[in-house]
Amino acid sequence: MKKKDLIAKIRSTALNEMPDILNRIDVSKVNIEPKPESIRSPFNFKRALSYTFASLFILISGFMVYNFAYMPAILDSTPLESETEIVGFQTISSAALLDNLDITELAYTESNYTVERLSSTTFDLEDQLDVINNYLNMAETVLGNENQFIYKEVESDNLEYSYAFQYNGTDLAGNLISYHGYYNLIDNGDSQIENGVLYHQDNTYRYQSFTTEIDRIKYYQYRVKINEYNYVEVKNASNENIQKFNYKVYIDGELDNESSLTLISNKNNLKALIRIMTDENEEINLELERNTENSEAQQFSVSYSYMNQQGSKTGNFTVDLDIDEITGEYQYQYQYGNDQVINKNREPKGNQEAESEDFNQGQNQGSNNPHLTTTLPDTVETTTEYRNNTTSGNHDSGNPTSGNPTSGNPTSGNPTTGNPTSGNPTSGNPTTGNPTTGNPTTGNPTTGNPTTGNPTTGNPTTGNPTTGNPTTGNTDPGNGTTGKGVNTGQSTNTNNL
Amino acid sequence: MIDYENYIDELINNSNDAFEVIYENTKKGVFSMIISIVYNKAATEDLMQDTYMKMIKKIHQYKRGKNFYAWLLQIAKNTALDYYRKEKKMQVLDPQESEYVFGKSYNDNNNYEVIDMIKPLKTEEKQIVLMRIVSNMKFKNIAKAVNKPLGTVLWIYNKAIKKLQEINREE
Repeated sequence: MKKKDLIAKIRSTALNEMPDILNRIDVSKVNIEPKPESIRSPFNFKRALSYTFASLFILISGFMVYNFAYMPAILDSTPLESETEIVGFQTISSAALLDNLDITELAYTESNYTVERLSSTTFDLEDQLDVINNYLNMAETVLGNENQFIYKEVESDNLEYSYAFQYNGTDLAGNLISYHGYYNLIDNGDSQIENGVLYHQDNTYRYQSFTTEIDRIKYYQYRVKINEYNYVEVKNASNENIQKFNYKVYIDGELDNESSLTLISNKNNLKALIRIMTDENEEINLELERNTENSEAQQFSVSYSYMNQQGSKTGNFTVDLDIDEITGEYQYQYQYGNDQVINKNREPKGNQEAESEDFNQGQNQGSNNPHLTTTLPDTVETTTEYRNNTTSGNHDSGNPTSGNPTSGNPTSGNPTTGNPTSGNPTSGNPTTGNPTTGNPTTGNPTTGNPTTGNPTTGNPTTGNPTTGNPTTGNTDPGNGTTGKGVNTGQSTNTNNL
Repeated sequence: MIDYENYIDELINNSNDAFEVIYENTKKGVFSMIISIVYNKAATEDLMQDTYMKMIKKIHQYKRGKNFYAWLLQIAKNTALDYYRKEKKMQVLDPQESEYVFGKSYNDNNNYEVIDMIKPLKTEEKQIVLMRIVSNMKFKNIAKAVNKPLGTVLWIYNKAIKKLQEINREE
């Protein structure tokens, strides 16, 4: 029996059997118990004095505890602490943005595409919910309490890939969300390319990194794709003060929307400021915060602003999980305005309850990827901008006879011997010369100071790309006899991912 | 969903009209809660009556601004549980008589057909399924009524429906 029929049968059977007892009760004949009176005790000086002292004590100690516990660390503007987390965040968040794209629905015709875009002259939150919903799907995956998610490097159990990582998070109902990623690194001499695959539920996403070069500085980006025409590009635009990621969502080969996401941690809860620009020049700003107090019934509180050529609008809404009675799947329930409720599709994320051990690093889980460090030194900035700063890394360390020419096998061509931390962390400051933070067109109007990052301040030549001897370490990816020291001659401050 | 506060004022002034509004809007939930604990038809009718009588008598104990529906369902639940415990006690004290009573209440035609349909479910699952399907309550309100987190309620509901579907498939 179909679920719908089952529900209908239960409902009709129960309603047919329900007794009616209305006529058996006459309110006028029922004795309503009087309102309980509060008994006031006579004034007692001793008790009053003890209450006063107790109140004073609670007030003062409460103030001290609050100051001690919360004031110094209420807001953390760089919540992702390691490269594993930063890179993991980029790939997982992009994949989660693609979660909601149903390929079968992507082949729209020009006419129904036009019908969907009704909101250029008026504003109704409902019109924007399809776009917002994709970001909610992403936010549920990657935003949460810092104790309820983890990015970790694990041993690859996939023969096609040398490296692996895992992301564990929790959904709003407290279920475990798991992504498994595998990747290879290909050294192209002056840059490295990462090719990988991400698995989540029944979905498979391919991803690859690529670099763009601006003023001789290379910026590392990811493309996470369902197929050749449907993908998300994400670029790390962080600096030492903020962690910010720029996304471009392509549907059927065309740019559908662009967005930037700024992360903040509030008392260990990740919070996101998302700015979405649609292809119709509409701008949606969302401030998403996940209420994680109750681990099994969490909710998103969202403040939004919307701008188009006709004007702007601001407001708030909340997002809960509900169950679609027909499909039995979770869906998002948006509540806004005067108790208006709209349900939207929510992709399956996980069915099993998350347990605390899901968020442990576990033994031997340290990075086996020479390009990742599990923690960053204090002086290191958190951008993933790429620079070939090879000051003191040992290029000779890759075993020339046993290196894997296709994937840079970390076990045979010894990548760890190339000391990733020995590169001079001060020689190249990748963030001061970051032209993206100073870009007045992409700077977040709420958080990013468009003038802060001066594109000319950073000296792109300070981190000397030629200081390290690039010829000593073999950078020829196709030479099977020489092998590769894939991490040779890198300094962690350049965050070579 | 109606604002019960206005009707409560009228109810305190002995208005049968106000009671009728409250009753019509809550009877499905009260019925669902009671039959998930006590399956007997005759007892259910009495327990529904007792629930509403208690609600009227104790209306001053309701704290304004709180969820009235959840408060009423709590009365229904306690009333049904009191009945169930008394019956169980009788079973212990007098096995023969209780066998007669329970035999009747659990096995004969005096039971609800809808209870037979959801018989494989546990009491808690029955409560949630009936409150959702019969009284069309929001999961949020069900969570308050059964004093469980929303996520747990959603999970129990989903699991219960799947269980019923599987049983139906097998049959």
